[in-house]
Amino acid sequence: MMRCLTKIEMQAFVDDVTGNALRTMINDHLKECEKCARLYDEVVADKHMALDALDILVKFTNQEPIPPFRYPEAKKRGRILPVVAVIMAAASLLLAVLLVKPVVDKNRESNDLSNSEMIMMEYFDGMDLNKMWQEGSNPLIIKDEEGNVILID
Amino acid sequence: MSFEEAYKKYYNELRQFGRRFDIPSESSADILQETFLRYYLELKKGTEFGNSRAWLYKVFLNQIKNYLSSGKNTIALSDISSLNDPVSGSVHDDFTLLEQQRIVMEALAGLSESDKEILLLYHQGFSYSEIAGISGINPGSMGKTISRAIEKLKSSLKLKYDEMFDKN
Repeated sequence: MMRCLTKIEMQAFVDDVTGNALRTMINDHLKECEKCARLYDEVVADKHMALDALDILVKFTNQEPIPPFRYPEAKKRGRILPVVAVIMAAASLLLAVLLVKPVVDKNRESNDLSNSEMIMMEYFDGMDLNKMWQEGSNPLIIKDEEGNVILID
Repeated sequence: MSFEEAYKKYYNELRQFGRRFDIPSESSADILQETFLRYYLELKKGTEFGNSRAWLYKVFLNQIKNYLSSGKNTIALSDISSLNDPVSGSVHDDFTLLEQQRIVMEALAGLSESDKEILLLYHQGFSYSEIAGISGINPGSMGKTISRAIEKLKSSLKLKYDEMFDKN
C-alpha cells in the first residue's frame, strides 16, 4: 500500500513530472485515499489560482508592433555617420559664410553711400551740389599789370 | 530557426515577461535588444541552440537581475498603466483590469525575487528542468520551490481573490 503524498510530491504529480510507474500508483492511491484526494484538489485549485492571477497581467494587452532589431553592423555604420554629418555641416556653414559675407559687405557699402548722400542733400537743402563744387574749386588767379600770373591759390 | 524567425516569435512574449519586473519600459526594451544581440552573435559564431526560447529567457532574466541589483529601477508599483495597455471595451472594464493588475503586481512584489522569477517562468509554461536551467536553481528542489511560491502568492492574494475571480 502506498503512503500518503506530501504537498510537494502532490505538486510534482499535478505538474506531471513524475514517472509513468509512479503516476499509475498515485492515481490508484487517490481513488482510495480521501485525504490525498482532498490534497490533490487543493493543489490543483492553487495552481489555477496562481496561473489565473498571472494571466491577468497579460490580459487585454495591445499587441504592440515589434521594433526592428538593431543589427551590430548597422550600429557601426551609425557611429561613423554622425561624425561625417558633423564635418559636412561645418563645411556647409563655412561655405555659406564665405559666400554670403561679400554680398552683405557690398550691400552695407552701398547703403552707407546712399545714406551719406541723403544727409548732404538734407544739409544743403536741395542746392545744386555739382555747381557748388565747380564754383568752390575755381582757382584764385592774381595777375600783374602786364597780364602775367603772379599767384594761383 | 533563423535569427529573424526567433526574433519575431519570441520578442513579444519576452517583452511581456520583462514587464512583470519593476523596470521602466525603455530600460526593459534596451535589455531585450541586448539579449537578442547576444543571441545573434552566438548564432553568427555557429552556436547551435537546442532550446532557443529557454536560452533567451535565461539571458534576459540574468540581465534583468543585473539591472535590478544596480539600483537603477525607479518604476512605481502604482504606475501599473505603464505595464500594460488595456484595450477592453469600456472605461469600467479598463479600470477593473488595472485594479486587478495592480493587486497581482503588489502580491508578486511581496515575494522574494527568486520565488517571483520561478512563478513567472512556471506561468510561461516552462518545465521544471527548464526553469532550473534558466534560474540556476537545483532541479531536485523545484517542486518544493514552486509549491512554496504558489502558497505565498495565494496568501498575498487571499483577501482579494474572491472579488478578483467573481464570475457569478
